[in-house]
Amino acid sequence: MREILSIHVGQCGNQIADRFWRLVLREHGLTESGTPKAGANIAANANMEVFFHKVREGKYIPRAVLVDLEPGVIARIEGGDMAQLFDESSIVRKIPGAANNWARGYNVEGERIIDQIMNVIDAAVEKTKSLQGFLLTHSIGGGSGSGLGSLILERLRQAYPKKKIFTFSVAPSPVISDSAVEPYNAILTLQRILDNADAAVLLDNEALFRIAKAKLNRSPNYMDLNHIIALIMSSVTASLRFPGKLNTDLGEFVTNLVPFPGNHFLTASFAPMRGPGQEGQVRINFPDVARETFSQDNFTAAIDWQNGVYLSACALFRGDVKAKEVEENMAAIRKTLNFASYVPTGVKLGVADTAPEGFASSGLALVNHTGIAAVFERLIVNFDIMFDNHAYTHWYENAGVSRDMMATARNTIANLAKSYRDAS
Amino acid sequence: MDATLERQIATASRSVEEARRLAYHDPSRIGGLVEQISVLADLRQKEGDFRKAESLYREALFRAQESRKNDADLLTGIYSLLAHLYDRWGRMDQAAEFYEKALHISEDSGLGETEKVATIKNNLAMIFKQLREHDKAERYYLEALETFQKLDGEQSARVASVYNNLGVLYYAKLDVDRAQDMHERALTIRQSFNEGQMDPADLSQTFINLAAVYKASGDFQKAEASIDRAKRLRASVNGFHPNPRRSASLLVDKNV
Amino acid sequence: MKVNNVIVVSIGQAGNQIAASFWKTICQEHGIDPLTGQTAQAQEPRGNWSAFFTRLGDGSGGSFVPRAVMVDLEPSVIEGVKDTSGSLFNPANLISRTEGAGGNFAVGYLGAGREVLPEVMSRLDNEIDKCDNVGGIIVLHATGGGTGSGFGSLLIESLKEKHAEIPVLACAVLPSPQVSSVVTEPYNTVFSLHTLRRSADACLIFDNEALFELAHRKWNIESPTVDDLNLLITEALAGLTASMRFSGFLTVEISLRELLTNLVPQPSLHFLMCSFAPLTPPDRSKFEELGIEEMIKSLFDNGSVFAACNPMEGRFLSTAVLYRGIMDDKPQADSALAAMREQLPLTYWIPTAFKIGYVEQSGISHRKSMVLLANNTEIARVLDRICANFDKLWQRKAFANWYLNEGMSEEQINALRASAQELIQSYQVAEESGAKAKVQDSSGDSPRTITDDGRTSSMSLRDLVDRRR
Repeated sequence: MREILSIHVGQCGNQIADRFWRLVLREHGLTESGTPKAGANIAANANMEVFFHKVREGKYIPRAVLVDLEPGVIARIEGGDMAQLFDESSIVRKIPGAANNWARGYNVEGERIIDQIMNVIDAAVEKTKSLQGFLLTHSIGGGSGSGLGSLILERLRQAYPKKKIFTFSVAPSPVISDSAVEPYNAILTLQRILDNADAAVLLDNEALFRIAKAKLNRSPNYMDLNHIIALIMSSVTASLRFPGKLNTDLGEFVTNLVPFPGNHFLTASFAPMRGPGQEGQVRINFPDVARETFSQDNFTAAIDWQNGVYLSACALFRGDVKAKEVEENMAAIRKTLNFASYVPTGVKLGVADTAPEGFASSGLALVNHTGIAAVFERLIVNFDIMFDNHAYTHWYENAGVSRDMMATARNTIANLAKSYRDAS
Repeated sequence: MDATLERQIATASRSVEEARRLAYHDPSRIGGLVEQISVLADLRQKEGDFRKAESLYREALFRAQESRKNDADLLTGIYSLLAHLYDRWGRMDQAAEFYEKALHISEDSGLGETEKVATIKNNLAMIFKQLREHDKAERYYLEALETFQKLDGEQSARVASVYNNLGVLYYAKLDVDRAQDMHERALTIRQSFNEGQMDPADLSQTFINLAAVYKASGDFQKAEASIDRAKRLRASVNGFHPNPRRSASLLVDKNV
Repeated sequence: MKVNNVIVVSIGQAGNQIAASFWKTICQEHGIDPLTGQTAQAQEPRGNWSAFFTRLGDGSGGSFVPRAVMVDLEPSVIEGVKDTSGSLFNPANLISRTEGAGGNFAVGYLGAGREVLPEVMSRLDNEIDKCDNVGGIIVLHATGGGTGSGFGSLLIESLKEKHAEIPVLACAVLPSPQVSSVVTEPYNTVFSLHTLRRSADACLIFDNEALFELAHRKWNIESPTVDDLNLLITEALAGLTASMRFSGFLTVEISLRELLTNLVPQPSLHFLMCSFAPLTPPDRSKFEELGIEEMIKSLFDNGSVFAACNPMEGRFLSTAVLYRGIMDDKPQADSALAAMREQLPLTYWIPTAFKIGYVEQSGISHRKSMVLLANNTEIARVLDRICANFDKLWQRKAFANWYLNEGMSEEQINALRASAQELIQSYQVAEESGAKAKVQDSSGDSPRTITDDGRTSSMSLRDLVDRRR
């Protein structure tokens, strides 16, 4: 059945969950309570099982586990219109919070709660027939999503070595910082993503903000940013749920996108970008969709396009598109993309039947570009300057993360950045 | 995995999920959740998946710790279950650690003289013996013995078991005289039971253990006689003739 | 919904007066009657009330009790609180004695303070037991008198010894000759600095000297009294705790520990100052509202900070801006703050330390308000002033007998003064090293001039004392 289990960790991770599940419900014709909408054709929706578990006739619950160390975001989900949707036995929440500290999320709080989380994940996995893999959403600069998220990644990999793990990781922005210790949290998490995930899509709030602002007619808020992430996540799994002429599943994405072990950090783009509610307003023809998809400022992470090359790329188009049109347009676009010289092939293509609600057609690009090194390099610069001056490191030492561990993580990511630069 | 076990696990899983749902809104339901978790964990052990069983017990432990701060009884129980799991898993150090934790909690909250605690002490002693920490083992056996004697009096199956275990321990320490004393006491108690109360397997085991002790002190006739009695007991129970030489060298501990 | 709980311990005259005002204010913010602890029509209080309150009784007719412990060595202020606060507080938590500390740190620390310690610790333990999870303890006290300084130090040390993992934020009012008349203030303050430096996780100072000027100039009060200054302090406290007491769609919940994680880059550099905006006088606040940019400008103005120094002339090690109120201005506020950040003299080796917190719910006096918490090297100037006043007295051993007779020795006093000097020096060093240019040679001096103080290396005040006995 190729089911997928989504795990959402921390405040950011769960805010994304809110938008993502809302979107997916609409795609499958379900109401916010998990029941089919009047007039929706469920029979045609045969691949609902990918994201939903059928509890009984007429009632579906998401295959999702929500984890948080602060109660606020999950409480808001429960207090809102999706109160009936999630299965409470799949929600794990505990109070103390991780105080923006990776070490607290990984050691102090993580230690106490990881068993419950793994038990809940095990129970959810047992409800699947042929689990394909996991999607993890979180931010890597905070405390819960980063620290507890890292612990979950490690245990997940241990418990399910053969399943694919995709992360959607929100990274600290170059200019707007959320907390003083972001660089530490980010680097410590990136090391775990490197070791345990099959692929990681890096997103940063600043790029998302810029994209949202350009397309909406007003100042965007976090809901808008998370909506973009939701559209991307939905498209990554579209082939499984709405099969079309060229199918791409998680495994194929990984095979086609990751040329060398460890170089599995991707950036994504979704087109046409519209705010929630604005989707149907502009009809856009296919060549424009394709162009917008591969336009550099539509990508959701601030990477170094100038000094880098494409290692690989996948494109998935949904909706009212013809395979032939796709192949022709993409061949043209491929010529404009600066690929590494030793990569002879083109862009891996996928086509799925149904576009997200309100869109006639849409495009997703998942790209492995060596310019991603810039993200790591920026983080390392800030990391080094604080670390060398012993700034904030006592908070980590007091929670069981030594300076050695931090230095090791830093060096690992520095090597990762170098490996990307060298791959040009 | 056989079908029955599979079904049982599926049912238990559903019960745990339901219990988690209830406990989500109502912290007073934690006790019920812990119970359901124990059932599932036990099934997992039977299935052989110790990792999952451990994870379940640890979830129960942390939930119990954070809900009602001082339910010593509940916590002692979970620690014991975890210790028992580690014992079966072969992780003796962790088994000892968790039995000790269980002990500390129950002693701190004044549950010192109960049968629960005595049982933990007996099991912990057995682990120390396996880890070759004989002094600690002896101490805990003696404490367990004292408690069972207080609770049951001398004519008790449990008291006999602890005598048996002490005998085995002394034998391991090469203190044959004491070992003999312990096994003879166990024998006296076990022989005094009539048909309904007695477990013939236990009695025959005592004979076997005594045989080993007699042999060690050079009294081969007595040893031979003991083995005979053991054989006859076993035959009368299920027609099974144990290999006398093998059994004599095996001194079996008895889990209380 | 379970949230992190915070306990507020107030000590001494000033501490308890501030506490009374603080609790009254937050009762109003949560919709709890400050005299009865009940809500209108038995509704639930607004916001995450369980952060600072416990529920007594259940169903309708239940009341909400502050997680507060109040201590004083003389009875008048606590009696006053009992009189004016009806049945709000748990009477067992209001602890007083009869003799007072006579403006003498040593009495609070060694004498009568020791006698009242067990009772206070027991009430605190009781409060801790009632918590789902203790997010932190806030200590309110002044360092000028005897109880707030002496018993305050004793309590903080005992707390951290017993509950090392609970974060303790000490909110200390520093004395000024313009406001009070205790001659021995400099002694008391310097002695408490040692504990604040060594045991507390962070110390937020309220400098009466600056507060006096603020009340005089901005609120146009001819001769400000202690009550006026306490109002300013209450605004700041309500603002800084707002993110622990409310949650909402756009609200950023920030626990006490998270705040400290962002503000304290090294264990020894944990002395914070604060500022508040708008500083319109209370009687005019309903009619005059500042725009966002004006508010931010005012917040960072040298004249607004609750410490007699010029933060813009020092270096900001770390900063947190917590603002609350109507959301429409949020994007504007965000960009104005980003712009302000560019102009601040930051420390180059802490590039990311600018935390922004937002709470949708307004405070009671202003629709929109902001609190600035800053770890700024100019704090050294404030501490220097106090130490200078100390030196003037100590050179002549003036009034020293009071302390020597209570069990302190000259040796210890010198050591305590030296400890305060070390603190000043560590901030001065931070200022100098923070000023290095962004483009740094990879060779050359490693900026490892900041060494961790560490809690194990410096002597405890207790050690100093016990040696004598």
